[in-house]
Amino acid sequence: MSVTVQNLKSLMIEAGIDVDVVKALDPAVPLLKQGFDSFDLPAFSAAVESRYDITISDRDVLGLRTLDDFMTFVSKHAVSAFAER
Amino acid sequence: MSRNSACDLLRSNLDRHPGKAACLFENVVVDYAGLWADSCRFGNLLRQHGVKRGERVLIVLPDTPAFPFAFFGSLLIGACPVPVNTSLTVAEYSFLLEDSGAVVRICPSGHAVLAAEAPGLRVTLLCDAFGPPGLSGMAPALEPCMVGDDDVALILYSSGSTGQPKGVPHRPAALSAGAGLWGGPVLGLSDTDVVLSSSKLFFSYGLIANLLLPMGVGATTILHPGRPTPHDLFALIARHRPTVFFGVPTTYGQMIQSYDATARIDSLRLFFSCGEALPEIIYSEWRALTGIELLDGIGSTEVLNSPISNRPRRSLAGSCGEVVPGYDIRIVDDDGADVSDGAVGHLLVRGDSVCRGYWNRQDATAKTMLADGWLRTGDVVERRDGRYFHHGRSDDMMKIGGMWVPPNRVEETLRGHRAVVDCAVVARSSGGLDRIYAFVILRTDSVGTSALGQELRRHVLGRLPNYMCPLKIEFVTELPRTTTGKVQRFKLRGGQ
Repeated sequence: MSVTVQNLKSLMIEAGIDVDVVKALDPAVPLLKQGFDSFDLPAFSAAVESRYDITISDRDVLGLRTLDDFMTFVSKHAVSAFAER
Repeated sequence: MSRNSACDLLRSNLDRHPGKAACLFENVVVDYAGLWADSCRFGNLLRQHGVKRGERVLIVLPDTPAFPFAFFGSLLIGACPVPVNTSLTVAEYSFLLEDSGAVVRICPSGHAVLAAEAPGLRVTLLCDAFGPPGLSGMAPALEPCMVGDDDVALILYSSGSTGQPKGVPHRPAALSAGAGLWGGPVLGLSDTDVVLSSSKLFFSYGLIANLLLPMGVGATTILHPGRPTPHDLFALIARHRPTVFFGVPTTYGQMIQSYDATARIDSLRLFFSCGEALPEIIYSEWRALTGIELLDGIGSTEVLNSPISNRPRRSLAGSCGEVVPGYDIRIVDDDGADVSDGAVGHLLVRGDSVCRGYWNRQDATAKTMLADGWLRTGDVVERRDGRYFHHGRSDDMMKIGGMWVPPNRVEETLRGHRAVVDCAVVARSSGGLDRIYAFVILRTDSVGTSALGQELRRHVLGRLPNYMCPLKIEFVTELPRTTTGKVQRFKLRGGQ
């Protein structure tokens, strides 16, 4: 499934994350280094699970640090989730 | 016997190593002689303002040297420091001022507490990072006021599952219990250690970890105002080279997510986690990443210590540890009968540092402080082979990011939105940590879209601290209830 940086940024804004923080994001830099706090990241993870109908395990959560990480994860798992149907 | 808590904690350091660093703050080193002198100056300033033995001093300060000066200065004159959260509303500060009966408030200029009103308040002292103007002109010595063993030396405030926060008074000896029973004998802290805590001094965990414990063993503490991000913490570690770090599971989770090759943590020999149950995944990931074990424990504002704690080189994933000598532990069923090993029950703790009764709250005291000195902590635990395992809470309180969240506060806020008829919130695990999930019944003219879900989250974020905002909002047509109408939260917690 194709997912773009813009798709995920829109989802962040829907999840209530500050628009200015989202606009300025560098996809390769850890989100916690760019203004995300300890509640933004789980809120975004929950929004990703809900939007793409995937489950992010506890171990996977700890490895999802950057927007690029989320892109890779969603592309891989959303495809398999859809393929299984 | 009469004693003074500030003398208990500081005097031996003053005699042994007056020039040793007590506090590191940015580029400033406050040695033990300086800490003692400025604490005496603060005490003399309070006395000059007419503050007397037993009177309460509300401290609303960030973690800067002014905090320990005000804290120990209050103790030295026999007054009672009341450290409180620096991020509350004016109404909350008014309650705390009135409930504690504080005669003094100490805060930075422009702080919200300045707009609060209380009948007994006589003095306001505005502080920068090193204290109020005029502090340096005060005498750097004083005759400490000796107080009785049963006097109130310190009051901390604890969130209640309903209603207002409860004042938790502590006797003088309790202030030394963290170092004397736990930090020294169990964790092995000594005067060679440098301590950093992500938890702020106004929290009981932060006060113990970042002040009472290091001062009690003659170590050095690192002060950092504000709420540090994981990158701030890595920078503080690189700059000040602590040997011991105290955090909450959420902090460790964030540090794992932020850890990279630039992180310099080789000065650290011990990591401790408290404030909420430590998920096994964070325990194992932390060890894999750093090579150092992460010790978990159960602490309580009412105990002013960690009566159950893991020990270095004996920690076990998923266990909050073993009994700390000096405390008695029981696990009982709903009828108060002791349960056998392997059975889950309510945690009771007894020990000299345990608070004997809430401040002006006989109702809450009767429910929590039982006969023969036992404290009902509200934790549900299990004991196996001498180790304890945390199974949650017996009340509705949620622990999110190490901070208490009463569910009714979130629910009342959600009900304040025009689209919401009723709701219930519970804690559910996400990423191994508890997060808030809300179940909302909408008005018939509202539709449960994801956009409305985000609008409700923003509604809460605009009115409550962000840790109280639900991670997820699910729209439902009814809530599970008992025959008497009480929401069955366990049913909402169960489903994923």
